[in-house]
Formats: sequence, C-alpha cells, structure tokens
Amino acid sequence: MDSDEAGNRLSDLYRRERAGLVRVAYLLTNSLSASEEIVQDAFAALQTTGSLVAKPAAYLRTSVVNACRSYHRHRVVVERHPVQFVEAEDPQHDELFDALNALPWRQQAALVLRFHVDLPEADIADILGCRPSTVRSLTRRALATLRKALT
Amino acid sequence: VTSDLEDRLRSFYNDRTAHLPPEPEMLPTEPFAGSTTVFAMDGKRRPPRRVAMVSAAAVVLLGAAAAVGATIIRDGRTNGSASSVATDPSASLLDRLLYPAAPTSSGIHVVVGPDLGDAATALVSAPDGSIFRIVVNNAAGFETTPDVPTQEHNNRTYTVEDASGSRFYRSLDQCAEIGVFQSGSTPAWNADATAVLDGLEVVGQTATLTLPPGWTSHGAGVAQTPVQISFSAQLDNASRQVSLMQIPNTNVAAVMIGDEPLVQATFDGHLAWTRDGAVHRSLYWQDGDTAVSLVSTEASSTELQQVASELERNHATDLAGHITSFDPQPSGTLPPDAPRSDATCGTPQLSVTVS
Repeated sequence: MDSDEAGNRLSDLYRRERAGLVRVAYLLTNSLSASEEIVQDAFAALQTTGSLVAKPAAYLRTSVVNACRSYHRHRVVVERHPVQFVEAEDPQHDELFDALNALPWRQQAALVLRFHVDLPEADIADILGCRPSTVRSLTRRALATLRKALT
Repeated sequence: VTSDLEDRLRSFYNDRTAHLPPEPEMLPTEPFAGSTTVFAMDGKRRPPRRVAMVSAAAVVLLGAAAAVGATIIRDGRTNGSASSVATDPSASLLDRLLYPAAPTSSGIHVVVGPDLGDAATALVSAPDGSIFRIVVNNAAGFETTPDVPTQEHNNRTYTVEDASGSRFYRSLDQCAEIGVFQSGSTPAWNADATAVLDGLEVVGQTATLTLPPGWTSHGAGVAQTPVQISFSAQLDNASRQVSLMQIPNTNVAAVMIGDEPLVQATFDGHLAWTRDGAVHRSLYWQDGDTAVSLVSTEASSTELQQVASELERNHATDLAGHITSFDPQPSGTLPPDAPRSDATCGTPQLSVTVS
C-alpha cells in the first residue's frame, strides 16, 4: 500500500469515526477539549503504526478508551491534591450523572460501550482487555449500583 | 427495572452528547498527506507539551536524523538543520542500534518513545521450556480484576486469567502491579508458575525473583525509551511493512509487548523468541545490550527472519535519503499518568537470581 492509498484510507476513517469517538471520549472524561485531544492522538498513533493495524476502527476505539482511562487516572490523582486541573465545563449534573461518575472506571466504560456505542460483549471485552464474562459482570454490577443509587 | 434503567442510560448518553457536532468541525484539506503531517487533521496545532518528555535517546536520534539529512518535524515545525539540533554526545549508542538495509527498504519512519520507565521486565524459562515474562508496574491507577481465582504466594495475592493463549498471573497492592505471563494454555497454578510466584519477593516496587536450579534467566531490568523504525522491506517477490523496535540497555522482555504465547527459537545462531499471533507475527532477540523486536502483519515468520538477517548498523551512509520522517512520540498530549509514589514505593525494579 503506498502512502497515497494509506492516506485516503485514513482520511475516510477519520471522517467516519471521529465524531463517534469524540462522543465516547466525552462520556468517559466529561471534557470536550480532552476528548478532542484524545481522539486526535488516537488518529496520530494510528498513522504512526500505519499498516501494522489490521482493524483500524477497533484500534482507534481501544486507543481512545485507554487514553480516557489514563485521563481518568490522572484526574483521580489530581483531585486528591489541591491543583486546579478540571475544566470548568458544564456537565448536566443530575442524579444519574453523579451516580455514573461514582462508578469504578471499568464499569463506566462498559456501560458507555454497551448502551451508547451498542457494541457486543466480545468487542467490549477486547477493548477493556478482559473476558466477555467479565464485561457481563461489570455491566451487571454497574446497573445494580445505579439502581441502588437512584432509588 | 433493568430495562427502564438501560433505556434511561441510552437517553442520558444521547442527551449528554447532543451538543457535540455530528461531523468533524473541520475536515482536513490534505489529511494525512505523506507521512509527516501528523498534526494536520483538524487544522489546529496543539501545544507541544510532550516535547519535554522526549528523552535523551530522542536527542541522540535527532542528531542521527540530522546526520543522514532527514527532515525533522515536531508539531508542524520543521527543523532540517544539523547545526540546530543537539550534538550527539554518545555516538556509540547509535552504533549499537540496527537499521533497515537501505537498498531493500523504503518509507522509513522513526519514532522515539514513549518512555517506558514506569516498568521493569524479565524473561525466564523453566527447565521444561515453559516461558515466563514478568512485568513490574507502578500500581498507581490500576484496578483489581473482579471474579477471578486467587492464591497466596510469598505474602502476595495473585489472580489468574486467560490472556490470548497465555496464563496471566497478577498481583496488585498500593505500590506495585506484578504481572506474570506464562506462555501457553497450561493448567493454572502449575508447578512452574508456582515456582515463579513463590520466588518473587516484592518490597515497594522492587521485585527480586529467585528461581531453583535448572531455570534460565534471559535478562531483567528497567524498561527504557524505545526507538521504533517502521519501513517497507523488499523481499524476493513482494514488499512487507514491518516495525523494528529497539530499546538500548534493557532486556528482551521489554519489547515483548502483548500477551500471546512466546515460542523459543534460534535465529542466526542466537537465541530468539517468536509470536504467531492472530494479527501480528513477531521476532524478538537480544542484540548485545539492546532488546530488539520485528513485528509485522504482512510478513510470515520466515520473512521476518529474512528481514532481520539483513538489518545493518551503517545508518549514517546507507540510510541517507531513505528516512521520510522523524517524529518524537506523536500521541503525547495526554496528561501524564499518576505520579510515582517514590517516597514510599521506590521505582519499578526487577532482578532475577537462579540458585
């Protein structure tokens, strides 16, 4: 595959996938600027790895979720310390928003990938690096926690 | 109830993202033109925050790229002047790296990083040939795996999972995540695995592995900054895109990224390891003090060995005009991971002793 062909393929992928990836990242970070940056980085990484990636859409999805996890990890640490980092964006603060954000990160990711992206369990398992049964467990626990929090 | 909640979740997610643009705000006019415009996709230039993370190895390679006349691009800024990059204080390091054979390679793309300094690795094999890759990570941010079997070994609790055809043993405390990959679908907690887990003494992020006689250590230590060279290798009848990763001053386990089973082999008279994964074929070996991997989705294991046998060190002359781009780690604008708890945990270290 020459560079023009690779560029066209990536360009198509960018048009097709970017908006959806930003949505996933936004739901996992609550920051639009971070989401755009994370997705941008995922495409940049994909371009670097080039034809080594057999399933570029899946690669992008995994990259974005992993990057959101890194972002989340950083925020957890930052929020332990009095450092101004979290953006002053205006998430819709309601009880479901608060309950979701109280969930462990993997449970949040499993819910977004299942109920927003509508991915099958096997694909979610690939992204989260676990077995499909673990995805079921994560989802079940998350829903149980939400139900409890919302009653 | 669950169905209602699932519907509510779907609506919530849709509402939360309703204000986001349905399409990219600005499509690139020349997206991914060539292989050097890494940051041109949305027309915006991001601040070069990660530039500071480019390590000494990057400085060395910048010198090398300048020496061979390459164009250096960082965040859209071009720097092709040899006089404006740092002089190479340790040219001997460059001489230890392997490079694509210029006459049979094209589209050479060099990436340095990201720094892997938050991990230490080791590779050992049991008397029966069973291969173990061991990784010590800073624990910050990692989570425990739910619903998996556990056992106590040497005062640590380990979980076991299947991981792409390998057994993955894992232990997590406030300082360190210890990961032990045993190649192959062996019974969980078998004698070899137990020997490794029992032999792992962990204090903070410092792990010491003591193994009984008959075991072999293939190296252990801290992972460093990788240098990745992607290129198209011309074989007898076809070209194959491959990725050559090298990490100076570290052990071969550092480049064995992934969890698919490893197979020990002999390559060019030296010990090597291969992976025949679902997507990639990989070849790993130790070249002096440098850990080396060749990975490809296109090449067979035999072809990878052919490419590996043609690698050479004469980069300064033979690569002139062949390097098409040179980027510091391009995906580097994320916030850094959690800071290390150096005061109480130290930094990841791993050593191996065979009795």
